[in-house]
Amino acid sequence: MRNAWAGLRARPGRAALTGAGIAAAALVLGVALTVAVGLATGFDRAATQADLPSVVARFDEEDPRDVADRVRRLPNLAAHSFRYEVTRVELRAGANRLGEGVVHVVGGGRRGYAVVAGRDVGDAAGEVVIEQGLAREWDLGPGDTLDVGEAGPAEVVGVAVAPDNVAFPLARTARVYLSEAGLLQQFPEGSRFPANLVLLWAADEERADVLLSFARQSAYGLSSVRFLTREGLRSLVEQASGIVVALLVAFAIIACALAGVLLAAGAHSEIQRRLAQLGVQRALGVTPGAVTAVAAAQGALVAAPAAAAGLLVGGLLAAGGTDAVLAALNELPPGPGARATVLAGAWGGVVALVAGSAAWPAWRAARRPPAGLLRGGDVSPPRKAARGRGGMTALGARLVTAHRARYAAVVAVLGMAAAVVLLLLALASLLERLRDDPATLGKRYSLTAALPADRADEVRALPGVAAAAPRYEQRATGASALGSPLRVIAYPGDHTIFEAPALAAGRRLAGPGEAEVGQGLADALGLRPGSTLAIQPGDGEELRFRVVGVVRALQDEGRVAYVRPDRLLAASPSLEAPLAVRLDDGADAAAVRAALARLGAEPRAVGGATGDDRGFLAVLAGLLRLVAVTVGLVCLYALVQSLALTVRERRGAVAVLRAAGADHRALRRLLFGAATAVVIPAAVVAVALEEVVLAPATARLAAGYADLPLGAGLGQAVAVSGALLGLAALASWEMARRLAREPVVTGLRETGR
Amino acid sequence: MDPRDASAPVLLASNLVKAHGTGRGARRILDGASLHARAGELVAIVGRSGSGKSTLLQILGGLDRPDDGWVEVAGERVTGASERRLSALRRHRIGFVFQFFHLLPELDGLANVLLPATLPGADRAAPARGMELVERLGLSDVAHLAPHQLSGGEQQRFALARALVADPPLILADEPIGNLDAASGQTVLRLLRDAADQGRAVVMVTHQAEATAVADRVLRLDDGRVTELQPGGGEPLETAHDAP
Amino acid sequence: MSRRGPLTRRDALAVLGAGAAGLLLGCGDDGPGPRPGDTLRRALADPDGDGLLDASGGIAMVDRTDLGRAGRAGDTLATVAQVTDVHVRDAQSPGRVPFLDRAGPRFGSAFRPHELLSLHVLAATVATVNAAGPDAVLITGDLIDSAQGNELAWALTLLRGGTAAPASGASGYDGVQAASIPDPFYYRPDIDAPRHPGLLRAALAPVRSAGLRAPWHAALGNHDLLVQGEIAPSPVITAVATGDELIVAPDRELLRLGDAGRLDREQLETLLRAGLPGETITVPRDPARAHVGAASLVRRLGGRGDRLDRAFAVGDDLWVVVLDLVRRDAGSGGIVGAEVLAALTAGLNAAEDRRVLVVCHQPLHDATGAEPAVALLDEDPRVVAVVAGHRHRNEITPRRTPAGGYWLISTASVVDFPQQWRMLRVRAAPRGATVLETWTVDHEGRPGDPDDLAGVARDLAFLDPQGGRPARAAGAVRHRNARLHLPARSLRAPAPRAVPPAVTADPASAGFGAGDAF
Repeated sequence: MRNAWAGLRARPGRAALTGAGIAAAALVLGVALTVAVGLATGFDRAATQADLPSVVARFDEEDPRDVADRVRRLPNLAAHSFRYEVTRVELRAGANRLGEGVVHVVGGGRRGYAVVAGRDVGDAAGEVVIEQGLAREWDLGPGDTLDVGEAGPAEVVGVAVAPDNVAFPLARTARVYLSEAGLLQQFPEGSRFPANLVLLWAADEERADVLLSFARQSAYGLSSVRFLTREGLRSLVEQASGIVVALLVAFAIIACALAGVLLAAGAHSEIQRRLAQLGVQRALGVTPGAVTAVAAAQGALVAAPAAAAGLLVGGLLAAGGTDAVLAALNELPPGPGARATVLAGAWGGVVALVAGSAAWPAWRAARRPPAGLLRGGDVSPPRKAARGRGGMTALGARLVTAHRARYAAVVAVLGMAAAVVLLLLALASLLERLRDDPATLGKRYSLTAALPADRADEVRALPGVAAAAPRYEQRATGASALGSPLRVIAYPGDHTIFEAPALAAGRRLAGPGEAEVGQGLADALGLRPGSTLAIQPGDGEELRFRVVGVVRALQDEGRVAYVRPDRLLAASPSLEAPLAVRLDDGADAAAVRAALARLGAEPRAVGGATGDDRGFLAVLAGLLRLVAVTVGLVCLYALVQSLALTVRERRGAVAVLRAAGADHRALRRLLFGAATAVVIPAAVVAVALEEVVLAPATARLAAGYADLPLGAGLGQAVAVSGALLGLAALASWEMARRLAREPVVTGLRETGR
Repeated sequence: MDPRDASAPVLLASNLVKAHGTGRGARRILDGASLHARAGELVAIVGRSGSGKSTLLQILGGLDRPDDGWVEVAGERVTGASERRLSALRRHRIGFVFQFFHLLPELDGLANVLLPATLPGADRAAPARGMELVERLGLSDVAHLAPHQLSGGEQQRFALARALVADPPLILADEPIGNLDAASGQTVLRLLRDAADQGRAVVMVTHQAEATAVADRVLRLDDGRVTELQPGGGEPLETAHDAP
Repeated sequence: MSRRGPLTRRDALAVLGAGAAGLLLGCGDDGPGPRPGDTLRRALADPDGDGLLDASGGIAMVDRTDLGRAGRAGDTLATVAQVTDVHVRDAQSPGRVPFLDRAGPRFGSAFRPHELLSLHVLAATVATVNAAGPDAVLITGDLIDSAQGNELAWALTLLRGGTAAPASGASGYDGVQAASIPDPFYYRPDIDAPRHPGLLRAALAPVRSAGLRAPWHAALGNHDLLVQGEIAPSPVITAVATGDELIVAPDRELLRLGDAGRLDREQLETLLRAGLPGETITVPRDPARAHVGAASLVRRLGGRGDRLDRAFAVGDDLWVVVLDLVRRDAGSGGIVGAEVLAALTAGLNAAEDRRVLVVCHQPLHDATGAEPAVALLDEDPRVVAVVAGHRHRNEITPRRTPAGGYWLISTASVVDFPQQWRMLRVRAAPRGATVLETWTVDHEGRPGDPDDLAGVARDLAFLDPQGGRPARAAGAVRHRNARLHLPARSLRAPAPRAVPPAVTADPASAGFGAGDAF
């Protein structure tokens, strides 16, 4: 260890540079880990802390005593609570006003929400707990007053988070909780409130489906029954906003890999630089094991503080943005202890990686004869000597490609980093489109036109239109006595052209009489591929379909069914349907709309799914930009490192050139040649990697159904390539300037070539 | 001043001082060394290994900076000149030959020779001169081989051609035959002699006594000072301390 | 065996080898755990409330000294097994009312998630009864579920030994639990959690039973004679049962009437004649579903005439009197009419100085018009217990009388959780006292084993929200495994009695659901 420390102290500048590189990679890692861990586990963490129930059942108002008996009989039930939900309650605080407030009257029992500030409601009158989204948006806290509809002013005693919906204002409604005992004190006429909601907690969460199954079997006598499971909630919340979140998580995972490769490459090249030192040590009789240990120790000594600093800064930078995203989703951030644990684990990993990446080549080099080490870098002579055309620039390219393995590694690293930047750019433009793009609902059509079905051919003939078909939609209820509400959607042909939510089980529907049902509907009615779906459309007669597939549909909490329209039309011949119009990729929407208007239709755009909140998108964009900057730093570092290494290794050649009269102009060209030899293939790698691997992988990680356009646009690819070349120019300019200032003799002194 | 004026020295160095190391380990490699070389002269500088001959040569060529003293090449002051000026000097006025050849392994022999011609600001006539040099030095047959495929003598000849491609008035050679066998060494020495006979000043640093046979003057570097030896031995002449 | 000399090496190896083999075999046997059975040694419990049964420790007998001090139990006079409320069911029969089940726990017996597995449970029960080796077996009523001929045939086949398959109609399953049934109020094993894909097909395969080894005697239960235990068969109702239409989801009207407890025979027949009220599916006809009449039923259960009142001895010291409390028209509750009183009197008169066990389906003391019968028993020092079923729950209460008292024992059903039968061991104690040891026994189906259909039946029965779990049918330990002490008294028979007059006329119709289990 002492040797390691001495070795470092001898070259503080070098150690600092390496440390800076490690810190940069650790910064990326810190950001990526904070984002990934925070967002990926957000729902589970919030569900645990909020004690989210396993099954939530909604029904038309009942006396809870009538319902309680059948609830208590359910198997695998650990606890239950009744609630009364009132919608469209006016909330007022100061100048803020909301007509879409939702009041939950809570009785005894488990709550299903986590109180993050203040305390829970007690039995006293005039107390209210508000959701965190409302608290943040209206700047309310414990002690403030909120007017709750007809219950009048109430004192805010606490702020709660429950991940069963996204937070206000991302959601249109804001939820507040009042206690039943308190309300009864205020309105003593009633003896107790009715219930239209019961929360069920399973004793064994893994077998919550058994609880749900028997709850449904016992629900006779309740009407408009809807069930929602924890899994169903998770997929709902995640789908609504989670496309973006999942993209960030996927990106963060890839960035972690990038950071790892960078660290390993950096440590590896460090050893390459110091081969002469190793040679001296070996010549003095130091064993390979000791050499390796010293190399590993040096690596660890440099990495430890650098990684700690980088991880810490990265974690702090990303924490704010991540927390904001989590708050918008009504999820909770990990505690400081958890964050510290993750970062500490990453720190250990980084130090181990750097030490190992230093030890491995040191080990390999130490086992070579010392003379070879002393002679200098292991540049293998090229098989065929070039004729030397192209001047300094070409020579620079030749110098950097001499060491093939390292050249490939640097190109790969730079390519990966640039690919990540491309992905970020694509993400940023996707964010814009998400607000307006219905792809997030699994919808692939972006316009509807109010035209009769027989004019579909005309619409299809328009330029820019990929497909058009009538879209039938009807509200219905399940035909059983549960009366569960649902929505039926029908297309005459293949509906996946227009809407294709991800398939969770079974297959797509292929003919009349078959149905694809959303997961919510499957849970509510107990459906699986092979079951029979019986629905009552409007006031028509009952229709039956055979369920062939279950899909993860977003709208109406998954209570949708896709069918062919013939039976619907037979039951209600006057059913009207607008034409759904799907555009070609890259088609001009405005032009198509104009053409549709000329046909006599009123084209309407179909909305997207992330809500209208610019604030949320701004938060996300901020997070992306931060990450982009760190990756940009990493790119610069990789480039500088590869140049510096090349120059260092070919000091002799550079010295010879300077001895022959190369000035800073010549050196600039030389280095620029070297840099472009790295940058141009890296740009190609970046575009290819992003198109072929990153974009589809990320899109698939995020949402298996939507065609998320994450491929790099031409403009973006050109921009990134240009930026890389700009970085190359910058790096080579700066290095040439520094190189020209030091005496030529230093290059001649050490190597023999 | 015409650099080919035989009367004015092409190379003039006065009171060069250079110390290596710091603190108590510091020692003066050069301690008031002075010398001169005229066009057409081949000057050999001898001395023990480690006496600082290479350092002296590097300072003479502007590759290193002395702690004190000055150097003039072809009437232009080298010490204290800007790097840009120095680079121009090295492009046009000074040619270097090194002990370990320092050929770029990625380029073939001919491309190595033509390397200085590819520098920005290089002499236009250099490429033609380079081809001619390759022929004159008998290297045409091996001009397209890579350096690791050449013998030591061939490599050094390519290096010499590279040094001559800009037709500089001053050649500085650092142990030019130190890595060669006797026969190749003799060839290279003869070529250096030819270069001097063509009107150049050639300053050669060597630790081998036999290399001095082709020299016009032999200088000795001892304890950081340069003293002139009589050809063939004898009493060292006093060196000139002042510039003319 | 004797051994000469010290232990030779070969001996040691042999011992080791045998030990190892024994261990291996033992390990092999214990793979999925020992089968459930005698709850004194091994019981089943769900301590964490997650709906899954696990093996737990045995439950020792609790001494009950409500009637007398704990006496020292001496010789065993007789061991009797009581199996009750098996409810062998033809689950595919149109003549049943599974659609009433949704109206609430009062109709809980109308549909059970495991109703297709009744034969498997019976076979598993027979196995454990045989393993216990009682002197006699009492089947105290509700052997079959809905008075159907095929149900009786299957049940008797398994009791006597043989193979029976609960298949009726055509091959395959046509009933309310099919996957194609859209009604979400039934448990459909292919679809609803806990899923048992293929269960419907596997359940229709033949079931083998070794048959009861000990002699067995039946008491008549309401479900043996009345359709769904409520109403006597009539041509209209039998036509439905042997017909080709099965009600899946009832009209609201029908449900409302049933819910109000006011559906009587006339109303029902009117409704049925007008066509089955509700959504139906078409099923294959099966004449074997025709209902058995009382006389045929009684004869096949070992009785004479059309009433199943009997009395017989078990061993030398125990006399068993079986009473038939079933109404003949409608209503599930017990009724004590003149015939019952006559049979009881005759039985008691024939008991001599033996201890007496009175056996019936519905608890005697809850039956309509039971006061004279109760009075008879209260005066008799030989009566040790009245053993009944029907309530599908384990309960043991003391009856204090001037004559020393006796115990009222109710036993849980084989069909609903806990799916147990009861062992009774009568032991003499000094000076005429009696110790009646009783404990419950699980059938041998393994919990949590999807290939063991009897085990699956118990697992589903445990989950049933209208079954024995929420109703706490298993009862506290003192109602299950207990040592019941009776005081020391003289077992001298009182003078032969005359038949007391009945206090009730014959069956007034109670509505459906009155007096049902839970």
